[in-house]
Amino acid sequence: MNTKRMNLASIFTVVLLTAVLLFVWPPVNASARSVLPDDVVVGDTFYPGFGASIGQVQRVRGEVVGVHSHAEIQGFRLRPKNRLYKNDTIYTMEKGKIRFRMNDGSILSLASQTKLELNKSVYDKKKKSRSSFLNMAFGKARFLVVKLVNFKRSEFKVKTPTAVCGVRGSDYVIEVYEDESVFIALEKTTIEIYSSEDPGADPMVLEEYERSRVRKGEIPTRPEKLSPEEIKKVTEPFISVAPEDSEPEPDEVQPDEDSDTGGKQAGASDVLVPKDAIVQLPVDFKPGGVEDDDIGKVVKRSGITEDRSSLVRDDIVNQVNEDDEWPSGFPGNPEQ
Amino acid sequence: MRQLLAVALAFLVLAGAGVQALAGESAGGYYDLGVYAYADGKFQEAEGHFKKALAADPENPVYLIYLGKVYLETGRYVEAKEYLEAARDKDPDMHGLNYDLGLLYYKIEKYGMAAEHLTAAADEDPSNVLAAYYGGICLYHQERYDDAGPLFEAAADKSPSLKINATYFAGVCDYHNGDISGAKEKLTDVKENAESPTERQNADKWLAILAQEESPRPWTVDLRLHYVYDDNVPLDPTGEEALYSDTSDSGIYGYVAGQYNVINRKDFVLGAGIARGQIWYADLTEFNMSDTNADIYTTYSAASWLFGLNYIPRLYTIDDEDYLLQHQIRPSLYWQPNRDFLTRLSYSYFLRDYRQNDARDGSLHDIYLELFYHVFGGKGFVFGGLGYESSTSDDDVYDYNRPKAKAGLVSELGWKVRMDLELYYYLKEYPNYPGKTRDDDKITGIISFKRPVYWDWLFGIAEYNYTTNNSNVERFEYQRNTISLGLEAEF
Repeated sequence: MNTKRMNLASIFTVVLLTAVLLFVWPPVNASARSVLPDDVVVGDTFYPGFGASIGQVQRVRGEVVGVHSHAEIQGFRLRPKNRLYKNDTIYTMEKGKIRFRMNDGSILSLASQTKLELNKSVYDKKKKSRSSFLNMAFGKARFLVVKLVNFKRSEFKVKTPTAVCGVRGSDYVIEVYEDESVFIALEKTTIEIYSSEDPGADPMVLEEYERSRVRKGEIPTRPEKLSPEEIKKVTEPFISVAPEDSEPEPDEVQPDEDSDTGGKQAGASDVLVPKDAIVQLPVDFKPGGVEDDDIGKVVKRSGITEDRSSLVRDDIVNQVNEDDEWPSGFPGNPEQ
Repeated sequence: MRQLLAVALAFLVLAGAGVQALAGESAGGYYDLGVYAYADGKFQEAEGHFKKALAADPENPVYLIYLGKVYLETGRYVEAKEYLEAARDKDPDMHGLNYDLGLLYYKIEKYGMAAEHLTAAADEDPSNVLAAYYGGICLYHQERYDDAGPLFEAAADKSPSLKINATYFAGVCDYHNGDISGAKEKLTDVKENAESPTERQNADKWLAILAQEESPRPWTVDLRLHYVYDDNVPLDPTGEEALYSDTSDSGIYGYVAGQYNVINRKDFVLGAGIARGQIWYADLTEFNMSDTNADIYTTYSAASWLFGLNYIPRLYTIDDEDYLLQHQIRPSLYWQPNRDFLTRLSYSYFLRDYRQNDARDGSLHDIYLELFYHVFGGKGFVFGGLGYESSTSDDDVYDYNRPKAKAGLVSELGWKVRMDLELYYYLKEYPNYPGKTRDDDKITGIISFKRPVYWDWLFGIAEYNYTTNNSNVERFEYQRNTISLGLEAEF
């Protein structure tokens, strides 16, 4: 009898543990490991990236680190009004959150333990062209993408390890875990998703308040409707993306006096370029052709405006001969 | 049999669906992955994706641009040109296309086309500092300094990274455009603030040239020594019928001259000079000739005009005896509206005193209009002129009128050789020649070559001179060839 009870207890324990592992333990995600690469050194001083700025930080909670692509091991803690540049990578640390605005007016909000790379963002009002490509490695992000009416070209793409998502104007959330990416369309939103493994396939379309998952090597799952409770839960981890909520709250990180500029290295509208883009001057240099530029100097130097000595001599010699041919009064003219 | 047919039919349907699936395959996905790969610097992978995108949608200009960009990044400029130009043909107004095309043409050194596209890209997007900068570089290569300067200034203004380098180029452009003070300001900034020793040194070299421009040296010295060969020296007339005997002779010609500017401002110069030339013949020493002159001069310049005035007393001797004492006053007016074109109008009044023949004493009026124009990208110039002389003497038998013309080309040939090609034409009329009017027309052609020898101030000269004089009085007809080889020193 006792043996039987012990076996039952063992079985119950195993089942309970298994249930905990399967249903209670949260999905493995990147937060279990360090967000920042090990070799990145983080400082407080912001410095500008290369090219024109593509966005600006609006609100920061906790610790959020930015890294420029040309200085991958040199990070800086982001503050409101710091500018963002092409190929910048943003890391939100534990309890860190950030909201920033792209040049086209789109608002992005990252939850904690998130990594997002801004591969490309072009906004050309004159040519009616908007093209943004972002790469989300892990974490959670909410996107409020401005719909640009009458634009010739408008694309806003977010890539995760398993899929690519494209929108024209939308409010949506992406959650990236180790083995899957989850896409959630919010109000008045249509997004298209395709698996990275099959880019040629027709995309899966999500409408308002629908969710799809893309596991590694698989196509997107069929859209499933979210309940109001689920919708509320999905938006909880983020700083608000409402346009009117752009100013930092008192308990958030505040901008400093250099935030809006290039951290003393550049003005707000200054543009930095990489050193290898600059044409190097020759080392052994002699300013050449200097005087040749001005025709006045060239002509003067050539002496062409002065009488040629050989021509003058010729004239004088001819005169000497004439003198001897024509004595004063009248010469003898051989032809007469 | 029926089963076989059903299987075959199913196969055909499936195969058709497969083909249809390929044809209808979405290009967008491949394009997206291509953009991400391109952003990561994985150009081979990006190329593959863009090619697939183009296979599904070959007319898409965005896909064409991106494949062109991949080839541009990987140095495959022929393919880059093909795709970027195809994109331009489909939609020339695409964002970023002007910059990509400009960069491509810059890489393949087609600076004219590059400048056109980069300038357009800079206009479209003022924050694209590299478009302005590289546009300036291309125009600089073409020596279009007045267009390059503003682009460099814009790049320097917007980019701390480019500031010093672009300011250097802007300063050099200012110099070439004649804005010496602007050049000095910019190059001083570079010299004082550049981190690179090369930039500081180069700026310093230009500043040395500018210092010379602002305060040019007040004196010059000119020395010449030539060997002269003449194949038709005129004989000392002894009653022989022929004045020109086709007898050759050689000689040595020496010349020394110096001048000094007492007032040496950029807009006003006052100075004086002295010069003496002498030729000694080997055999026909009775034609040894010297020419000694002083020159008191002044010039005044304002904007594109320059006014000059010279007083030149001159003494000629033949065989060590005074032959002609001449006083010349010459006002000149120069007009240079741009760096490539110059014109000069000069008038000379000569008062002549012939020491051995008082009947010839008299005066001469000489007016000349000359034009000069840069050719070969500034490496040379062409010139032409028309003039008229009118000489009167105490004995009017010596009076003459002489319309004249000249034309020529002066050019750098390479290896620092300068070539002068000159043609002179004179039509001399003696209205009071005994018995009839004497008319002579003379043509002289000169070609000479000049090159620095060892030092910058020492030159080797070779000159060939051909003259033919036709006259209605046969005795005065002649042809002559002279060759001159020598050295000249200019300080």
